Amino acid sequence: MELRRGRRRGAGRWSAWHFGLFAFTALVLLFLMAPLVVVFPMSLSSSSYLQFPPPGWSLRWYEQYFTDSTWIDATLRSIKVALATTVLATVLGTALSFSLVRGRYPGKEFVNQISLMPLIVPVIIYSIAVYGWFGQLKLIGLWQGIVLGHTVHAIPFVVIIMTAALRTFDIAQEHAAMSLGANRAQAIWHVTLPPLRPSLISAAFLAFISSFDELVVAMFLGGSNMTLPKKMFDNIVNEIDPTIAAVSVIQVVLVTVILILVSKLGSGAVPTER
Amino acid sequence: MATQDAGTLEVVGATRRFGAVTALAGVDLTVRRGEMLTLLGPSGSGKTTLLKIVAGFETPDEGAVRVDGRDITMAPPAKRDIGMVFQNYALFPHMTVAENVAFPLLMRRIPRAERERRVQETLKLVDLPTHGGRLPRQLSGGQQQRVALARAVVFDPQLLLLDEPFGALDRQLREQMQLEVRRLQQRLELTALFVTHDQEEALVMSDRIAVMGQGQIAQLGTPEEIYRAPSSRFVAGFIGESNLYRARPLDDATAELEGGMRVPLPHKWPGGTGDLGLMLRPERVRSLGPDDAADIAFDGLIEEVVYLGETIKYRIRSDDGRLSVLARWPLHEANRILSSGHRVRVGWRSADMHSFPWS
Repeated sequence: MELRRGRRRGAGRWSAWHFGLFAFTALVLLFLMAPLVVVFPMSLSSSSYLQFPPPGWSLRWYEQYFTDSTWIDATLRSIKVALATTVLATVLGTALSFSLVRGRYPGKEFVNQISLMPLIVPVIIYSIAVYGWFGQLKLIGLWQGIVLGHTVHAIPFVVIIMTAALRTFDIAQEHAAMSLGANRAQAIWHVTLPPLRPSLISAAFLAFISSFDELVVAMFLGGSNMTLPKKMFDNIVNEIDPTIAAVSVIQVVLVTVILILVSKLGSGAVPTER
Repeated sequence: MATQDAGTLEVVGATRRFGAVTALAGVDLTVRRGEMLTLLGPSGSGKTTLLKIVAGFETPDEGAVRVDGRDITMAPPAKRDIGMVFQNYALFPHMTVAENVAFPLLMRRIPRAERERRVQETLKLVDLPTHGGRLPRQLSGGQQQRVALARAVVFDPQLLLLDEPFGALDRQLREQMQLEVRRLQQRLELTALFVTHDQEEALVMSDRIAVMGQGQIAQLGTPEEIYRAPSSRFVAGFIGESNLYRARPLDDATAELEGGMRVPLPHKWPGGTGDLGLMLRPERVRSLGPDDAADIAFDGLIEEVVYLGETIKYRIRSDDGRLSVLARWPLHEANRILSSGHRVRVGWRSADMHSFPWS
């Protein structure tokens, strides 16, 4: 009896507490999501200005985006840069992770710190430094230059994910593969990497996003080779019309699609049927 | 079986140091063709280091490893043609059982048809003919063990290494698997090096045992030799249960135990070189009637009773307090269980003891 009454009173108290928490959470969510959500109706606005609520509906800003070759060029260039960055950063970052987890050499801790440095150094400082350096190398204004700049920035994400994954990997499996006739490369390819695939895919996704979204480095290194974020930035500075909203929506949809693909690909090691 | 021809595996003067620690101190070892040799020792005795050197995961600082006369000291693991069963099996979790077993054949570029035939054959050999399509995590511990074994022997290796392969299994399954592995090894006439810290396992599995301690082989011999005639205190203490006494030799046939009791020695003692150790297995201690005589005999009190099912163990202290002995007796109808505090008379023959230098 005593116990049941106690529980009921407790449940009532919890309920009030629960309601408060719910309301608070909802408010925070609304506060954070509103600017994002507002973009969707605004992209369908018939107005020539960014205004909310839209006075009428139209697809003209989507049309504007798809028919303006500078927008499309910038988008394709961003995708190209992001894909190249993904490949470079994933390969280099994974190799670096192997060294950091498995290696035995003096100065390893220093290498570890250095590899995470791009996360700590302010982007603007980094960009100025790279600008000076790439200027001497005549890499300014080339999309390849942006790729290199972005790769440095993406590597820490890959290293953080892959070192964590590698630490949980049982090295006996790699030893087993080698005792069974595999050389080191074969052992890593056939035995070590397949179980790490979910982590690899997450790392690659983060590398892709970190490049696809990046503005500052691209601004310094891009020159006339504008990436999508740079083009959006210019649009806001110079024109500010709802094309920017349409582009944002397209960007969000694109990233969401990739995210869905990633979670499909990344879910566990699928048994291979032969 | 174990023939006397040239050794299949030879380790010569293998030494390995890790910083100031010497893990392996100049070990010489020959494993004969078709023989199962066990490296037995506590952790840190160097057995695992030695196994890794043979497998190629460690390089010795000094010494050499030869298989059939071929020096493989510096060869990478893949070039050694050695099958290995790992402690936790190290099966590849993303591959099916058949793919796991096929892996060494794939690495050797064996054509698909033959590959499949050999995989099937080997799975049948380990009694898993229909499990090829499963994933390792869908198998029981014993089955995983069998897959690991199949994978290690499917390519007809010159040598099979087993690194504490039964540690993860419960007792009953472990005993069953020990016999199965032993049977398979004998049937395929595999030369095998087996590492364990479990002395019972070593006695069951081995043609010969190398007892290791402090980076060296303390004794090498058949299970029977090691059990009956350990060459040192370390080996005597490590294999089986024993009563170990330190004694001072009085002449070449008598010694005085710590505590003052005089005993005749089982072997003629060369004399001179300090104290000696005397080992007595608990099952050799006999229960005596009041007037029975023995080489060593005394009256005493039971101090401790340990019931083991088929046998029972007593710790017995002599009335004069000078000697304490552990006795293990079979339990049958005539043998009722005695309780602690009970008076008994016990004794043993001098020949039931085994002597070795103490230090």
